Amino acid sequence: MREHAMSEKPNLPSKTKVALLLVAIALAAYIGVYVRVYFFGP
Amino acid sequence: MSMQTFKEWFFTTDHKRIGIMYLIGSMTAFVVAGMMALLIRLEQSQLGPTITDNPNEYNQWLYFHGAAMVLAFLIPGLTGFFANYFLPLMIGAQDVAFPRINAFSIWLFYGAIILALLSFVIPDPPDIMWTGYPPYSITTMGNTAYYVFTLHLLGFSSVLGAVNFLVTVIYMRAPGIGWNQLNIFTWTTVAAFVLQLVFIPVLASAVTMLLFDKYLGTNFFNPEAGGDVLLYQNLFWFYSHPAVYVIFLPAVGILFEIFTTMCKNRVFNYKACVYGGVWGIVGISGFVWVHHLYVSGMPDWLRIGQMVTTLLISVPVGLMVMSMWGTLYKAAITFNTGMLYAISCLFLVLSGGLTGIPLALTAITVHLSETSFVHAHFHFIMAMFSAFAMFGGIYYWFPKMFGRYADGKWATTGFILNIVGVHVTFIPLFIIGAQGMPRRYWDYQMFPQFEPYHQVATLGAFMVAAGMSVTILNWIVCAFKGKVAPENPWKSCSLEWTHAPNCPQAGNFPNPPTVTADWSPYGYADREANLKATTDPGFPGAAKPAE
Repeated sequence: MREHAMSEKPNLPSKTKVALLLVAIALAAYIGVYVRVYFFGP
Repeated sequence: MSMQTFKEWFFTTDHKRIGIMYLIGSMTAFVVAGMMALLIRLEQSQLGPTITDNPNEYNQWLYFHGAAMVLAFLIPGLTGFFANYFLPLMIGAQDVAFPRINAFSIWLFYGAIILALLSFVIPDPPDIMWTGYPPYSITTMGNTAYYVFTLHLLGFSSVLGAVNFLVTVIYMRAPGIGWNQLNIFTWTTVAAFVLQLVFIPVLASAVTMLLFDKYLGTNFFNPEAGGDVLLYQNLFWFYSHPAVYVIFLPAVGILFEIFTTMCKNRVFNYKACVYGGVWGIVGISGFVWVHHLYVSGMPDWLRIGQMVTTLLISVPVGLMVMSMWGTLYKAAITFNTGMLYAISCLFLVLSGGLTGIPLALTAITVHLSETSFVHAHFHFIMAMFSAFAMFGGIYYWFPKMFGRYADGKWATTGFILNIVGVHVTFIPLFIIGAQGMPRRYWDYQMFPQFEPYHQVATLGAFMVAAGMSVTILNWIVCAFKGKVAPENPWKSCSLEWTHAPNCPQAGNFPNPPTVTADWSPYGYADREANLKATTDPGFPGAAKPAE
């Protein structure tokens, strides 16, 4: 089990992975609008 | 300023310096956008052309005032300055999770501010309000691309900030701080960043399609070629209504910090406030946008459904407001300038909230839509409520940032001018709005009976201008020459006061704190036990010089 420096929460994924997950959520929202308009029209 | 100092600030990754830069940038936007408000009020103070005979010029003032106040003052002020400076201190962190990305965010923000200011000198400035509605925005001679690019910069900056601060709160809390031990400001800021992360990209794609329509020949929003202008309005408000909560929530968080400290009291109904209030707002916020479009030809099922959700959101808002009043109950209140602003917010939210009810009801809003009643309403509930909370927060945390007080007679004078001025400005606009005064009009020759009301409103706007001039000058003078404040002058229990010295250096804490489950940022009932629940219990420890 990997030690975490600040918060002592060893089971959490790394900061970078969580940040990338959050970026993916934002990108999904961004692309989702185009997908919605492309497939279902205005 | 020497080159060395400039470099230190320009290339800084310290969250506090970045916070101060957000403060300077957002206050610059506030001042310029405030000047636009004065021009707007002057133009309306008399029938016929008053200071310009060019309606397009008036439209540009409206554009800059709205866009800069919302996107460059309120949102960056609350989620940029306050979150950057105070959130890491409150959770006992030494910086944010990604300091370099934080620095990148501020560069993007300043890029957008510079672009926005340059709109005064480019030959074809945007004239599309802050909403950018098509078809006008895709046919105007104004520079719609400029608007879109500025929004993209601000949006990208905000999304990066959201990622950074959400990871910071998840990972960087001082050891021992559980979720139910977070400051309300931390909760509200987390909620605001969740909204930013999910909803900003929707606006970004909407304005990108606008760009494609105007310059690349697509027809997403062009009704002549099968496009739909309502699609843009839906997408725009799908972001921009939650944006109201991006502003409202951190503002409420600031009020809680002031109330608890000045009342030496716990938060009344903490869990109901956080899980019902803060997250209730987040949960419903994505289902209320249609109340901006009641008269735009929405189907009845959508209008009625979102009328219900719009009324429903008053429940979580009410939970938070009740928690604020409950926190004041039976407290020995310290009335300083920060507290005066905070208490005034309780009445601003009441006026703004109650005038929102008729606007939420589809049958009544048909008569009020696009009148100055609407703009008086949102100035109360969003603009003034949040701006007053920010000003209160600046007074409250002033000793933390600069080691000096900003309270005094000039601070009180500014407050009185501001609170009286906003009421003198907007109450007449409520009255004539209910009687049919259209909003956004350059002239109102068809309604000569409203001229006296406009003159009173203009007088009020100049009172606010005087109040804000006094307030901002007072801050600048007090930052350098104000009365020196001791550590923790308000005797708060929150970590940024108990464990970080005034004007904290990089790293924030001489002794990074650790807390136990018994600690609370609002542990005023037994202050001594609360301090013992930290690793550095005696406050004088926090007064040690930073290493």
